[in-house]
Amino acid sequence: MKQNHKKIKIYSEALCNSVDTFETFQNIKVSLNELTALSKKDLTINTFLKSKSVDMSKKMDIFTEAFKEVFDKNLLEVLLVMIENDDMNLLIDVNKSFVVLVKEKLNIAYVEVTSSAEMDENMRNQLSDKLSDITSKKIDINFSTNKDLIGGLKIKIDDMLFDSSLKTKLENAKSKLIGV
Amino acid sequence: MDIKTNQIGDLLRDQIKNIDDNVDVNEVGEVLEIGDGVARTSGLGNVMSSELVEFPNNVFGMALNLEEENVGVVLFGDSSLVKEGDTVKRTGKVVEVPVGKELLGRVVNPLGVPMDGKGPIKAKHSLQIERKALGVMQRFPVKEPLQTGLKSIDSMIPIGRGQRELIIGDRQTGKSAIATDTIINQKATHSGDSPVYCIYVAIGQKASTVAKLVGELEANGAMEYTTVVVANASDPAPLQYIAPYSGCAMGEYYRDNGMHGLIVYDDLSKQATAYRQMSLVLRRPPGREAFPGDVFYLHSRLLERSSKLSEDLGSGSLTALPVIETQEGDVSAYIPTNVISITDGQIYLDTNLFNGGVRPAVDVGLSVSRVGGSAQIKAMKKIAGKLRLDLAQFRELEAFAKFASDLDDATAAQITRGRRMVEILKQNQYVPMSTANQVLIIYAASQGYLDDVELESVKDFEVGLLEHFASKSPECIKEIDDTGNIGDNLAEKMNKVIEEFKKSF
Repeated sequence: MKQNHKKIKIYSEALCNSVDTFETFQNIKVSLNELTALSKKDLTINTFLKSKSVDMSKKMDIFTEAFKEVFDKNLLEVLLVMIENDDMNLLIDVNKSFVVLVKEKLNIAYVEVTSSAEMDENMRNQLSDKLSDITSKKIDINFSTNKDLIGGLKIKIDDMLFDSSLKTKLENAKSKLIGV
Repeated sequence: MDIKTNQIGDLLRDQIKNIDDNVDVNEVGEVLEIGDGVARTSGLGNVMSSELVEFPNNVFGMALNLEEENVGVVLFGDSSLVKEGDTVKRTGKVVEVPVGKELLGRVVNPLGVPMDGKGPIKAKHSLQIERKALGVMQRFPVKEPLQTGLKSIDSMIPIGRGQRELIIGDRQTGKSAIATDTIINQKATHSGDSPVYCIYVAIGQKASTVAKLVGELEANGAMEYTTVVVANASDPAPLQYIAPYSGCAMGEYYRDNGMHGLIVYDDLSKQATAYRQMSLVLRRPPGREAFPGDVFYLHSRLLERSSKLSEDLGSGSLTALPVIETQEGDVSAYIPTNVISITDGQIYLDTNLFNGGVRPAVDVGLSVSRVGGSAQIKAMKKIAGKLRLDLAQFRELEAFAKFASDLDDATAAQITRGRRMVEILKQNQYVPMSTANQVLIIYAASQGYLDDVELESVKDFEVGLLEHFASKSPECIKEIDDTGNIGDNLAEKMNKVIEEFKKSF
């Protein structure tokens, strides 16, 4: 377990060192998310990477060939080292740790906005700019909709949740009126 | 009461106006995994140890394991209502319970939520369940007696206010009965100037058993000054783990406000088992009997909170009667030895005595009270020494007597005395006896007045004698109550009354 922690730290730090801009971070993050999703969805990649019958250098060649066009060069190098050390099972944790490290390094806030109805592009940009001003950080923002909110917004900035949704307000009012 | 519709409307409008509709701001985390009543969560970077956290569907939990990567939270509710990916909110509050006299007569769960259907508890105060025990300078030696109403205990294993006296024994030996009788006996203190308020903490018991107990307390008028804290066997382990701490916080309110409290933890073996379950699920390393390393601290930090306070702090007290269940009389198991070493003495209940009809089945040889002696009234102290000696000699000779057919007169007399002593120490459940009556009957026995009474008639003699004293010379009872001593004159008077009664018996 401890050994894994060490490895996760080493891989994520290596990835973090290769990131200088917000765009590179976004690029690597998206690639890692896609690879994680792909390996969860399709077990062929895992089977191939774990296979004893395929030679290690061949595995690495095939992997490089498949992803060299879409993945960042530094990311590909780290992934190849992980394959060589048979550590691809740590990919999800490396991804999480990498995001935490880069957020600190580049002063990025991760924001999740949930609204009751779809927000248009203009509103999204306005909200993003406003949040960036308030937090004095670069914003990595994700939008989603949930009709159960009835109205208002739920904005989660890192670990802080600002809930102005009508659903929560009604629930609070209910508990206060009942006195529970 | 006549309330018009528009008045109800106005009331509702007023209440709605006062509702705070600001944005709800919370520090949150995400449930990474959930199972066996324990959730691992990410986020919650600033959460405090023992802080209450809120999951969806009104499920609450307590943050216990604060690790680098995640936080281990134990759940107080149904874990099937929480799923992976759910949001968990900080409440900013360490677990606390309502305290005060508003809780008297109520049955609550370890979070202070009423379970008796008697409506909400409007307590003015609340206290954190985990509080630090007081230091040496804030305490005072145990000096005042806490009467259990049981002859064998009040005479030979006296308990003082502020003491921790363990009740230990196998299953079905009458441990809870002693605790219940002690609570019922506190009724007498409520007509005096230093009433004792009681808290009964039921841990891991069947709901039906607790309901029966509450019924008995109600029938005996003891619920008026008692709070029952319940974490049933079907409740999650974390609730069973915090139940004693919740009860203790309720007791500390009386102690800290210059009053007297009595708390019964029934039983701490089950609490230790619940803690073991939680610790193993939290992946804390197991030690002896698979208990975690801090199981001693689990009980020591709880029992250290029972104390007698100094005059500067109001002279309040909290007396604890923890209960421990042994397996096949093995007092050298891990949890029993721990609690024996923490408490100020133990009342050991023996299965053979219980089955032999000696009830309460107190083994006076193994039972001890380390500090209660100084809390005993002089009258009891005088007669108890003789009682203890007579019983010790009887125990020695009893085994010997089984093999010998011819006994010399002295030995036979000692055996006769011992048998009668054992007989008078027997007592039915729910009938605690006043101190004066205890003194009278033990005095009569120790002076040899019962030696020529048939063994089968000892109970009748006891009842008759006490009735005789109450009707013919109540001044003797009053003098014992007032002075707490048996002077020469009183002894002479008592002898006369006993002799007089014997003639008519």
